[in-house]
Amino acid sequence: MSESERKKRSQCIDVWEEAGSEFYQESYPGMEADLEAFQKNPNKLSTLLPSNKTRTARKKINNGTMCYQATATLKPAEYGTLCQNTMGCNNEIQISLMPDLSENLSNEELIWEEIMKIKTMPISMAHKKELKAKLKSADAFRLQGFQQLRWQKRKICIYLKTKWLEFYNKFHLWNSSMRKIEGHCGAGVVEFFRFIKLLIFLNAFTLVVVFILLIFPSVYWVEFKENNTSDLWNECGSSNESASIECCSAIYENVTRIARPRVTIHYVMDIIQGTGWVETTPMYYSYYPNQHFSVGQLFTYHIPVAYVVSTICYFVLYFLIIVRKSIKGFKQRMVETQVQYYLYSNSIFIGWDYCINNKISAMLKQKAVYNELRSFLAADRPKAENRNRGKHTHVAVARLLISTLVTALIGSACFSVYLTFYYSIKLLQGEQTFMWAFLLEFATPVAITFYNVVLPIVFDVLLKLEHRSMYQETRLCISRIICVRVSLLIVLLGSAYRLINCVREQSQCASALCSSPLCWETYVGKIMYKLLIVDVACKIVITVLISCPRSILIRHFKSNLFQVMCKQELNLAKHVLDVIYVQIIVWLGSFYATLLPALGLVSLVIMFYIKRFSCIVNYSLAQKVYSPSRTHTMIMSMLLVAYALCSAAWLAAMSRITPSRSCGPFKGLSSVWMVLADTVRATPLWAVAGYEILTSVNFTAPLVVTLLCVIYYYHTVTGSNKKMIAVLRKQLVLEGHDKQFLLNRLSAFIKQQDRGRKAAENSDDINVLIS
Amino acid sequence: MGNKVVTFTESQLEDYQDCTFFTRKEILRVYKRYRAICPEVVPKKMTGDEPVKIRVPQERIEQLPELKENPFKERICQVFSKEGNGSLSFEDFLDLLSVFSEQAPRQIKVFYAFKIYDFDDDHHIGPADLEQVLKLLTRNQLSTEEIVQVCEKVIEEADVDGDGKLSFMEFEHVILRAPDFLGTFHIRV
Repeated sequence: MSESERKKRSQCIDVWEEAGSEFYQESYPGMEADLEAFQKNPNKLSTLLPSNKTRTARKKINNGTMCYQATATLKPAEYGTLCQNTMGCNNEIQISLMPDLSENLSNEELIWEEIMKIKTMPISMAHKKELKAKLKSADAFRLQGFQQLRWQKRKICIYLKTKWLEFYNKFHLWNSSMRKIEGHCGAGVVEFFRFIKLLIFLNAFTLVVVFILLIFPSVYWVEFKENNTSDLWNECGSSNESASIECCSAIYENVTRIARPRVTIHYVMDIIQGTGWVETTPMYYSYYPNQHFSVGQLFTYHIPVAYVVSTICYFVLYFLIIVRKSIKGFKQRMVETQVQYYLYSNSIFIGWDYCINNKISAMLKQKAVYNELRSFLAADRPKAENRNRGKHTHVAVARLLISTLVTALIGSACFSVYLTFYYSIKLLQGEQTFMWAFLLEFATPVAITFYNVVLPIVFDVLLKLEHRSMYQETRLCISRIICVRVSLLIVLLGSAYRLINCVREQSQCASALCSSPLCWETYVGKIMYKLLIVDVACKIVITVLISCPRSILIRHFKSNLFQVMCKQELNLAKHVLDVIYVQIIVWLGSFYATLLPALGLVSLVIMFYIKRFSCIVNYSLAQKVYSPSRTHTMIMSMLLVAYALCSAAWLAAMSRITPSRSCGPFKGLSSVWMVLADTVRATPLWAVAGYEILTSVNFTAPLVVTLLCVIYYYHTVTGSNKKMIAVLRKQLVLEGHDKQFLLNRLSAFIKQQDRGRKAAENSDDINVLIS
Repeated sequence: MGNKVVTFTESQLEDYQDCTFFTRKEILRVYKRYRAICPEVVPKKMTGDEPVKIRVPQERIEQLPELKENPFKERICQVFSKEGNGSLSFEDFLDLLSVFSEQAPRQIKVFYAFKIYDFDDDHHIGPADLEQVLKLLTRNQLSTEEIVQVCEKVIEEADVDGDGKLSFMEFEHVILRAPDFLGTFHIRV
């Protein structure tokens, strides 16, 4: 480098003294050879730049002479890190200009690694085969002993891994469906369907946990060890201990036995309502006894403890999996914070989904990309100056009015649901005909679902009147829908809570004042059961009866009236909310109706097919550009928030509300939490001592302080990294300017030299002529 | 086993496995798709040098369902075609699908994406290339001035060294930042 530099300096010394501090030195291999070349042709100077090295490298490879040197890395390149990618490319290209040193390969393992790396080289198949043949025929020392073992182990690991992946890929559920959806709607929508699959598997796992920990032991106890308590029933009516636990349970059992159906139609209706004979199955909380039995000599199995532990188990599992998936997404978003700098580039180079294979979807996707580009351009245009004040206040007033209207609508919906709940209970106390009782049972869930369906449509119409930007519109729409659903659920749970928490006389099993049910947990379970059924039924009905004809009308009648009326523009976020709503119902109800996850699983499968149908037949989702990573982040954040709310609700209910006296594994205790506390007390002394140490102030306070310090440290490091990125970016730009400047000066100098030489030649010629 | 027609020799399959991201099964599946495009040209036995010699013309390749609706189908065929006229031999086709498969790492996809978007093959994506990309992407729906504006914006965003066009480094820098690239830049066969 120094020799070539000295040469260059001696030739161009006056120019570079002028440049002074703006001069930036870079080392380019092959300097001397090129120097003569570009003296003849100044444009060749640009071939020295790194960005142009790709051209020369490709030319060399394509000309047939393979120049490849083994890199010294011992591990196959990891493709996760960005810097390694860019450095790898640089290395490859510069290395390819160097002479062939394949004689350096002396190791079987190294050769094998190089062969593994062949597929990642961007050259044609013929060259790859050539390269492989060359590597294979190269001389190599055999490995000995330990190294040989290690290498064999690596080979076997990789082989097993590929075999396992092949095997695992065979069992992907709905593979063909996903491909079809991908072909229709693009990669972003597929994320949504993968999410449904995830929820289905989580629910299935919940069921497995519940079966093993809870249902088998309970069934074993109930079927094989049942003591007859039917005699108690006769005693209970007369004695003054009529509100004891045993009496209450006897009363409740009697009531449920009476409610057993006699006609076949009653069986079916009971399944739909979740009452009657279904209450005597393991479906509900009331099936499980508060007994414990010994398993041989090993240990005693406490069913109440198992109940709580199984719930905690699957809640924790949900938490772990959701957090793991969210973290992957958030990591990507951290990298993506610079995406605002590359809006146009991203939407052009990455905007097209290469997997779309449907004509109409392709058209819609192109329209979506076109719309996106136009919206970017519109946002970048300088704002129109002539927006008069009047219009501004007019829009602000309209927005305020509409917001108040929306709040009023939500409030009135909540109030009406509360009234429905109150009156349906009151009416059900009295004697009703079967049909009327059926309708009353379903009154509240139907009211809730009705508002869930109708209010978003109303909000959509109102949103059009607000004249907001596209981004604000979507956000506002989704937040309003979330408000509706959450507030309706809160009203439902609140009314149920009011019912449960009524004042109870000492001699009553359950409060007679509010006519609360004997077994309120089963009652809550039933509510959730009915809500789930009504929700899914409603979705099926809407899709089949409304969306289907609309899409048929749109496709066959091209008149404008139909297009305007029937055009369906659904939002992916709305679909996500539908699915998350189903999962919320399952989460809220699964403590009280233990087989609700099974019902949830079936409903999610139905949802999958409904959504697939809407996507493929209605084409509504292909109209927007959904990026897979952003969809994933949105879904995971919504799920995380929903999970947090549900688990908080469950924890509050578990620790505050007294379990009912007539049924279930926790009768007689003051709260469900006591079961765990009692179990903890029964653990051996060393465990308790250890637990006390861990939770004592002496331990937790320093732990908290250390954690805070660690968090602060990482926060500082992130901040300084961000600053470093900004500085490096500026430096990059400056380097670019430097290079441009250099190029200009050098080419100017060379032209000057040329002119000087030509002038000298001309003067020589003239001298020759003259002499 | 019987009279099973051997499509590829063992060594061929091994070579292909090492040179692409496909497993044996997938390679045979790719072969079936390749044969289905043009059964009269592609023979059942490819044990000789048929994978290199026999070429399917560009028009037939573009009728593949995965490529039919792709606005860049012509350019993809040209990039992967050894002879540069868009016709693909079996090895070219295998290469194409291997690059677009899910197991291919970012590095190689970025390289080929650059080649695809570089319409005039000058190893830079200049404003003319961007214009072509836009026209294909939006089906000529953007007006001329909008196209010019968008091209300017892209160059503004991505060009670092100030030469008015995107080199491979600059393109890579932009693309590697985007997490969606792997998700959208794949074709499943």
